[in-house]
Amino acid sequence: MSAMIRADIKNRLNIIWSSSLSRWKTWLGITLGFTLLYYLALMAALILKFGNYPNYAVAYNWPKNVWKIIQSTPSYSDMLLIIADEWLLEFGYMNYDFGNGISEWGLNIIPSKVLVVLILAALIATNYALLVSKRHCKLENKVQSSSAAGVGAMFVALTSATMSWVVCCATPSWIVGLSMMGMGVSLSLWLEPIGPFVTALGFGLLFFSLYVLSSPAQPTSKVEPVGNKENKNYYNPLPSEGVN
Amino acid sequence: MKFSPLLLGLGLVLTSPLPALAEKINIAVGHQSMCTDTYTAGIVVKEMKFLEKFLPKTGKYAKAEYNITWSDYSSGGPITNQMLANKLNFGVMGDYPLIVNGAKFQATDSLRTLYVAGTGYNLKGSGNAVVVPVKSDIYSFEQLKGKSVSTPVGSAAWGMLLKALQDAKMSKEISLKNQSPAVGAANIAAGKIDAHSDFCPWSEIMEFRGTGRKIYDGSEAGVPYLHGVVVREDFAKKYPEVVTAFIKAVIYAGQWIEENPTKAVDLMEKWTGVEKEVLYIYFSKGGHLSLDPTIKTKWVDALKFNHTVLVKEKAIPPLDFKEWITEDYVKAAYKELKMDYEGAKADLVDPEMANAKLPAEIWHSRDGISTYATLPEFLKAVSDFQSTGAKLNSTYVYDKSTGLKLFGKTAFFVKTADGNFETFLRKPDADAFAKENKGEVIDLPTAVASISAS
Repeated sequence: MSAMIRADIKNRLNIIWSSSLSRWKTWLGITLGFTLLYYLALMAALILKFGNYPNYAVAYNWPKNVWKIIQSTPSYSDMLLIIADEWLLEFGYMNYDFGNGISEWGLNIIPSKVLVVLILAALIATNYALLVSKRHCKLENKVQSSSAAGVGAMFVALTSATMSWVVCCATPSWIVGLSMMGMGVSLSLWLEPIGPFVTALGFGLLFFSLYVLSSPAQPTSKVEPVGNKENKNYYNPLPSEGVN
Repeated sequence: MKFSPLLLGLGLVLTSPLPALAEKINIAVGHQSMCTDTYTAGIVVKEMKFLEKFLPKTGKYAKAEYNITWSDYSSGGPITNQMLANKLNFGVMGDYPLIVNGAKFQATDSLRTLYVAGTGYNLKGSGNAVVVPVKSDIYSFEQLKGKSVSTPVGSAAWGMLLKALQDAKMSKEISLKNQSPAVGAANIAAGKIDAHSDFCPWSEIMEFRGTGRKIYDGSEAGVPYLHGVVVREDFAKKYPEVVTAFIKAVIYAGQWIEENPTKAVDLMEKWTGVEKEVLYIYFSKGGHLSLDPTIKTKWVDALKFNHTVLVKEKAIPPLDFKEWITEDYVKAAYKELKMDYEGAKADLVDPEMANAKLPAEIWHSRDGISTYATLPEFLKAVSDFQSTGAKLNSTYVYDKSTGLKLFGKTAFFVKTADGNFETFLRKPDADAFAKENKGEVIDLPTAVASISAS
């Protein structure tokens, strides 16, 4: 990697860090708020689709279960994949019209997926921090990066859904979620294998947006450089939320 | 030198014969109380404590302490996930989820399951069915062209539906929806969907409750419908005698049900909440389910066929059937119970042949079940009971075309010119028979009324 590229990356990371840090409260609010809203939206979608409120909740002993998986799975790669599917919480609707009750739908909180959503939310928050701080950024760049971030966020959000229902081989997955929302069988089966690529594409777009928004700006006459005094391309993110 | 007694002691301990296991052996079983065909390895073994009866208590197990836990699931998928996480050692499920189980485990580097026994089967595939709302004017599968059909994708019922659509060359002529059994059943009751395909015992639940009517039975697809037991290989290697004991409990549960069908379904209703009249259609003599844990060549072929469907439709991983299926444990169980495994394996129950001469039945709510050799006798008895206001839980007849056991109230009766009766599952079959025999197609109340009037 050439020195120029290294310097450029370092510069951009500085800009991202400073922009996020200067609005850390907003950044944190968006990160946590988006994650919470995401799961609330999934729940709302299920309630609207099926027309009933959740009537059961189950908490799983996640640490104990993970420990058991670690103890009983010889291969590390298997271990990680199995742990990734481990549930923490389950909310759902139990239909007591049949048998002793059958779960009609469920929303599963899976820590590995929550982590993905948190990363997604953090990227959205960072994009937002950059967007509002780079006032001198060209409008078309802003629009481009916002669009890329929006589409990317949608892709990741779509593939991080963890809804489930009693369809024999179905376990919580994004494609089950789409099926539950009414997607046709053929389309959902066709889409199922491309989930990881959609996620990767989503994150790619979000990082692309970060890249565009963190571009060192050309100085304009009215903007005073602050912060890293040696870096003439670094501009004060507005307004500060009192990092100091 | 001062450590030598300690070393000597340690050496003695290490070289002495293995003592009895003084360990706690956890046996965790995942079963499905809303899937009738799993009951002989699930709810019955659990509630009747049949596993406890057969667990080894001698030799290396003399000091073993067993901790048996049972977890009830609505489908096979979560059981596989729990087995992967080693929270379950045994899983009981239907054919399609079994295949997913084997394939998912074989896709890992270090974990495997073994298919060690069946629980029950229907040779031609009854148990899965396509149901329409009871007031629908659809009476044949072909009438579904251009309609919406829902099914739990990934289930045996879905596999049957795909096969039926291929056979009828209708794959592109229906709108297929993914739907869970409970919602599918509710949609059928409300007339919100044209048809719903589901697995045991959902079709019969809808029929018994008077909300749905079968238009296609799984037997028409001709692919056996079976359920079975899988166990984690690491558990089976460590405690092979426990696996054998589990299968002995499955065999014993089957025998107990066959000897006490009415008592068994009565208890099952209490344990599962599924109506006993529905369960009777599975577990009684002539019922949909043949309770048989043997692993027949035909089953392996059926499972291989199901795997090709799953590979094509859902791109599931490959499955090495030779590595996955083992008869060792079920053979050992038969041997220890002094039963003939090969004889049982060779025995195949074909409902069309086996049920040909079985009597019709009436389940009186107070007096229990009575049998009638002919349909006129059966109809006369229904008429007599109705005249006294007696409460009948249910009535059962057999489909002339397939030998399948039916609820009397959902069967199509054909009264022939000579005053005889025959019963059918499907209206087109009844119409054809009536045409051939100059008869008329009627329902149960009309048939009863015609007997009363004569």
